[in-house]
Amino acid sequence: MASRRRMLLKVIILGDSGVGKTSLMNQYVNKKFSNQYKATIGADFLTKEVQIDDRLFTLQIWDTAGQERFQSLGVAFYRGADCCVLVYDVNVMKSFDNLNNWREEFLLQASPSDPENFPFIVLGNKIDIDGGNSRVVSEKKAKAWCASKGNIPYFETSAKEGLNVEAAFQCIAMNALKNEPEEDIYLPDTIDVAGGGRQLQRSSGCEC
Amino acid sequence: MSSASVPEASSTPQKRFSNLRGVRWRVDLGILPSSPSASIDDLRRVTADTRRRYATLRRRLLMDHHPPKDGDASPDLTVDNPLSQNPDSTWGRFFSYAELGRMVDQDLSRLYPEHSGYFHTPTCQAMLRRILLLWCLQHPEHGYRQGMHELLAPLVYVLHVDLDHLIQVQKLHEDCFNDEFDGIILPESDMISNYRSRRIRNWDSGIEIENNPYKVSNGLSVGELDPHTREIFLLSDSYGAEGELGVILSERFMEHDAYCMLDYLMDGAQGVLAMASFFSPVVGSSTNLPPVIEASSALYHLLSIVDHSLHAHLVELGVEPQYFALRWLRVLYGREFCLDDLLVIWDELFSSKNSSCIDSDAEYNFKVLCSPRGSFVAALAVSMLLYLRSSLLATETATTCLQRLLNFPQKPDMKKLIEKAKSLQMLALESNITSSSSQRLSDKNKLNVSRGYSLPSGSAMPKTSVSVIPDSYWEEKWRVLHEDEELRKQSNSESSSSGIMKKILTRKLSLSRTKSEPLEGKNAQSQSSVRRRLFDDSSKDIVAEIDHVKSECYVPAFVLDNLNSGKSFTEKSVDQRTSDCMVEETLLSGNSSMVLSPATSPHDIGNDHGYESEKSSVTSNSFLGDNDEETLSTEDPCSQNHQDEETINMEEHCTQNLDNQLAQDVEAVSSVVIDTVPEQVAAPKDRKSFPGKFQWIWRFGRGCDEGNQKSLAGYSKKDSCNISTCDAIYNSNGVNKRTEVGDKKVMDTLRSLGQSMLENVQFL
Repeated sequence: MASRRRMLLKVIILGDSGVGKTSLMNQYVNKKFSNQYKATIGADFLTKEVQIDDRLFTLQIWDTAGQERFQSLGVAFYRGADCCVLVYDVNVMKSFDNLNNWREEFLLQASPSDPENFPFIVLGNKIDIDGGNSRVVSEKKAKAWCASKGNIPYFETSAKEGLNVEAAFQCIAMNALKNEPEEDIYLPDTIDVAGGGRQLQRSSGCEC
Repeated sequence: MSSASVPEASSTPQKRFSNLRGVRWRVDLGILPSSPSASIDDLRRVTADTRRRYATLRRRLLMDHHPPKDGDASPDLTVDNPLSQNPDSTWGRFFSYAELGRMVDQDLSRLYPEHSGYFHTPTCQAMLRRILLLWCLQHPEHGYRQGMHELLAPLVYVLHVDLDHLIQVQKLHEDCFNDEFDGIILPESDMISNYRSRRIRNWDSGIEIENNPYKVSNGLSVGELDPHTREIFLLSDSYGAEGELGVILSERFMEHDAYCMLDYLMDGAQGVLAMASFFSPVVGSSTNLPPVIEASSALYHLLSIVDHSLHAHLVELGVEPQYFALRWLRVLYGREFCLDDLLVIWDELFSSKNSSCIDSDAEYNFKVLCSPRGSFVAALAVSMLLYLRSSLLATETATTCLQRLLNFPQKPDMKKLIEKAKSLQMLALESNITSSSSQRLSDKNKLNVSRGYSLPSGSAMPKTSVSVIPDSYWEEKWRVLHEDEELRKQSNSESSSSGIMKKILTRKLSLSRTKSEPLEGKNAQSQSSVRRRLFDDSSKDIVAEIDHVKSECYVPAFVLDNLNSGKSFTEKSVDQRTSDCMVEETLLSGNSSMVLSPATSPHDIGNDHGYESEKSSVTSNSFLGDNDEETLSTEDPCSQNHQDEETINMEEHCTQNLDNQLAQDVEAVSSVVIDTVPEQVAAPKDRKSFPGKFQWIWRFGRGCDEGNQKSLAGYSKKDSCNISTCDAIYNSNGVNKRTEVGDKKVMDTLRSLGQSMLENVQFL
């Protein structure tokens, strides 16, 4: 009975301040964009139900402050992460340059059991700005960096326009799941009988 | 400078500058002298000094961080060129300054979007930017960290509100505030008072002549003004000490004043709570933790004393305090409350002294708890946690728990929150020290308590307007409950009364029942007032909790109304002063029908319930005032024996109601539960919040029964996934078994209902 608990996938979004971490998360979870997000202080999170291979999971997406350099939230915060999303702004070179720092610091703090194969995803955000004319980081450059770090999946997104956001997070969820040990997964087949009612009851935020 | 000022007289009925928050904050933060004997001219001199310092700083730093002009290029071009990597070169400074500016701009553009009408004007943005940049340049060890801008914004805002207020008053009393009547403008003020002359453009020489008589009447009319207007007049008068530079309410020097306030807030004026440290990763002195993490631990420490079960619940779920407290603390609750409410919180915060109550050689646990102001920060956090208590206890995972913590309800009952925080403030101070140094602290505290302006002098216990329970109320009840002659006699002496209080407290606040209670100090006498206050508060809380539950029943009752005469059922139950079990039953039955009625979307029910309960907790406060005493007399532990009977009766009553009014629904629950899976899953989910409440109520009702408490505590810790209505009812029956009253019919009905539901749970 107790193992009926839905599986939780913990995702942490990192990146420089102002690259659009909060916006990406909100676009994915709430399907809306706002210019009015305040700077994130500390960390905040949203959850979303995702379905992978007919199974439902709760994606717990942690949005961190761009200035939060790990010390404050403590290692417990990063431990147990199933996937780390690195975000940069394609119009700001520095935010791209910092990806390496973010990645290394994450590995240091989270100390995953298999750092070489820990799932990262890189998102190049704000591709909508100025029709792409103001971008300073080319797709080629970004992909080259991702390839050099063990073929990290790369997506170019626009949180404002909702471009590629769904696809990126679907990939995030898949990769997070791969990282999760298999034996935790147990869902009784009675759930599937419920059909239409399932989706609703499962998104109430309760875990039982 | 002024931080070592004379302690304020406790007898001041109303604090100085009560209508001018900005001025008051400048006094509280330690910028302006706080002594009531300080004359306006004293304040003006200090003000002028701070402004001069800012002007100097601004001139120096802004020049330092501009690229060198052609004429004054540095002689050593190998160091000073735009491509130099040397951060100390002029160009290096310039670039780091530009980077800093970008960071600040990025956050300022996202500052208070809901108040963009004020904060996003180019003037305001430029001012905020300059202040932040200068503060960061002046404090390179801190630099700019996200959140600092939100500490500054309210400071600027209150100065702005003060000036608005000044303009209002000026309009009302134009005669008194016209200072350019004599035609002879002082050269000094002429140079720097252009804002003033701008405001009084419509002047022409003709009127000036006409105005001459005012010079004579001016002194008179100022004397005749009400004290408040007089105060404003004096604060905005250009002719006192330091002239225009000393005008305390001055639009022109708003930037200077705001900078000074930010500086004092960040630095803490040599006090304990220095906001800058909350942004710093540098580990603190007492623990090997960064100050903000240490402060987060401090609030859990305080919570563990005040509400052991809630603390245990959060720890068990793995909810570390910094996950939510980082934001709470760094922007001093600016994200959890709307600006208007935040200002009220900061009023309280700043009015608490920031100097350490603990001797430098004394041992303490948490630095932040060393001053009343730091203690208030932690106490408010605990107050907020207690505000969400039932909601948090109902959570089963860290995810849901954090969701509630990171989304503090909009429009909370500020009065309740702050009163609670104030009652916890002293406890926070006391809990921080080792017993050896506690005596010294309590001596110092007496002074600090008496200076709080909200406390009438001589009153050790702040009485809230929400509910006034006599100090001795619970003491009385305790005596009645035990009918113990000895205790009664002893309670007349101070020491044992505090012992009783302690016992009650231990029970009421769910402190650990072990003898090695951390609170137990030798100076029980000095603590008793705190305990009393705390206890008084807790009893209110209990009442609030009960009312909360009671009022909650209206929500499902409303739903019920559509199905049957559920509303009258609820009203009847309240009229008959039924115990909460009854109400809880109503709620449960209400929910069962809720599950049924919109069975198509069980998900919505869950959400609605959460929302409604929040709403009702606000409503419950309005109940407090009226029904307080009544509720207390009903719910008092002294009526324990009756209550058990009553509870059974209630159950019977409820079951009858269930039979009469909800029979169909109940049957439907069972049948639907058997038939369809989704509803069945949804039903126990909706119950989740109840075990916590049951526990709370039972503990209250039968607080002295240790065994029950333990079993209930154990019960609450159980994975309540499977707990359905029936489980809860079973449990309550189990508790009541020792009473003679046993209604077989009730039991059977409930048992059969419970078994059918349990079967289905197992079937699933």
